[in-house]
Amino acid sequence: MKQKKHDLIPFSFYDLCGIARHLEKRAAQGWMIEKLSNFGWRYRAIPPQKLRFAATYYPPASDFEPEPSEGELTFQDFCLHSGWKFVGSNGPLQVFCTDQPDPLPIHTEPGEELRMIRKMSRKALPFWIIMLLITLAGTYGGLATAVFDPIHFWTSPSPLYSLVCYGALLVYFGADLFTYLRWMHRAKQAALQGEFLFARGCHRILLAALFLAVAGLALYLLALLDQPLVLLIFFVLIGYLAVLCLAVNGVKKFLKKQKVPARLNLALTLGADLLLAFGMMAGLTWGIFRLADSDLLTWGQPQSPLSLSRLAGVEEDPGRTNSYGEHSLFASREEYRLSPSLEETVQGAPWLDYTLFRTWVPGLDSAFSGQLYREAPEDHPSWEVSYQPVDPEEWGALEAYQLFEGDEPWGEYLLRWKGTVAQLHYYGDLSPQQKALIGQTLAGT
Amino acid sequence: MPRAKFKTLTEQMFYILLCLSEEKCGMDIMEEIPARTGGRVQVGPGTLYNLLEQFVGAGLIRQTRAEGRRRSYILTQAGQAALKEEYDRLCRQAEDYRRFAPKEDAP
Repeated sequence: MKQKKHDLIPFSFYDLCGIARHLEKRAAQGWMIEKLSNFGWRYRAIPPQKLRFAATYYPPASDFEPEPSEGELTFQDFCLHSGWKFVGSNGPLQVFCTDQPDPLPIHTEPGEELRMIRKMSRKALPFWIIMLLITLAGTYGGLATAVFDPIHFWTSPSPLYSLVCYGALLVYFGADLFTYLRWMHRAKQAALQGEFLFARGCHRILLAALFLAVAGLALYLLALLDQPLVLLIFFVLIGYLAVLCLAVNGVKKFLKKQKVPARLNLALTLGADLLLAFGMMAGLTWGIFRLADSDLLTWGQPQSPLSLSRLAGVEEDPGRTNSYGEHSLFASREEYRLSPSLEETVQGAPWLDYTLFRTWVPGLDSAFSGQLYREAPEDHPSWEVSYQPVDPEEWGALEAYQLFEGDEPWGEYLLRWKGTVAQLHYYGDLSPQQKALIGQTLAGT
Repeated sequence: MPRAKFKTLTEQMFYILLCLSEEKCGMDIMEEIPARTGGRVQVGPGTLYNLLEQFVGAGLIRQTRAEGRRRSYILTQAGQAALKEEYDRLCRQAEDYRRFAPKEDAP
């Protein structure tokens, strides 16, 4: 039979009632809280009991203190004198329990309890504001990408996942701050009448946000299954963050065991955090640059559906041909450069650059071609260029455009078939047969 | 305009200061107050601890001795004055009630 259990319910710091009710439920299920930490709560098995719990704060306490201060121990003595046994703490958060059916509450003056919670909110407020700003910026960035750069948003797995995460966390931090301010206002009114008003925090919203983030992560990883190198880099980054957290926590614990004063512990832990973060990031960056120089990055690159040999009877030079691809669950983007040897290029042999966008989502192909159409002048700032419509039937396409500088045609084309968009740059003149071949090949992929 | 701290005392503040008219250990106040009020007023341990700290900070009480973590306190002159002022305020309220209460409720 299991003797230990863990959970991590992200209660809002002002939801002391919620914390107490949760621990009472656990005790009734046969689990007694044993240890509280930032990484979760640990329980030990007990016979199911009806216990009363109380959560409160002793604001001067800190997670960096080597041991409880005299003041903290005196506070716990006071509570024990009333029948409240100390069971655990995490920084300033103190948890007590009693088996008395109708115990005297730890706080009997609502104004004093509010004063204590407001003290804690001053510590939480900078974090709240920073997280609100970060998540607001991230959400705005994600939405702006979705609106103004739908190609990047839908063809890369990162932007959509980022938007889901940032958006969910923005909702959580916004809701938590709003809930706290509204509750504090009402609680102050109730305190004037000598009444307590218990808070209900937003931990369910945070759990929902975390669930969305995990679901988004699962979809993100699914989209990377055929890009093992990118997956590897992702897991290396996760591992890096985990190691950093454990290392910093380890430094703090070590310094506590050495009875280092709290302020010195905080300063040294922060210093270790910065050093480790920079050091590990430098190592990661070096590793990624080494990878970029190696052949490993060619692993898993897409194969071009078009070839110069089929199109123009010219052999491609593998050293001057490359490809790049990325995709999400909704769309993909592949870039190809097909070049003959340098000698043949100098002799006027054609080469081909093209980007292929594919999607199964209705309407996205139109959004992609619309963005490429609008961006033509931005991609060629030195010339007055624009896409002009040409006969799509030559390509077997729904839409076809050619880039013109004034009346002068360029060898750049924008083509759309159902679920596929292609932007081609062909050095040479394309015959109707070549256009039909391109259309058959790309539309059928 | 916000009320100055301890300008008006709550019931629990009043009885804590009243108990400390004589030197007393902080924890013993938790039994003393219900005993003096017939159980009508009770002070929780967290509230008592916080108020004692605040009273010391405001100069209304002072620590007299410490035996380990058991600390004893007594009212200072400022504390006596604050207690007297609160008593006078309550008396004025009681007098106003006697003068203006509906006749059937008048003692």
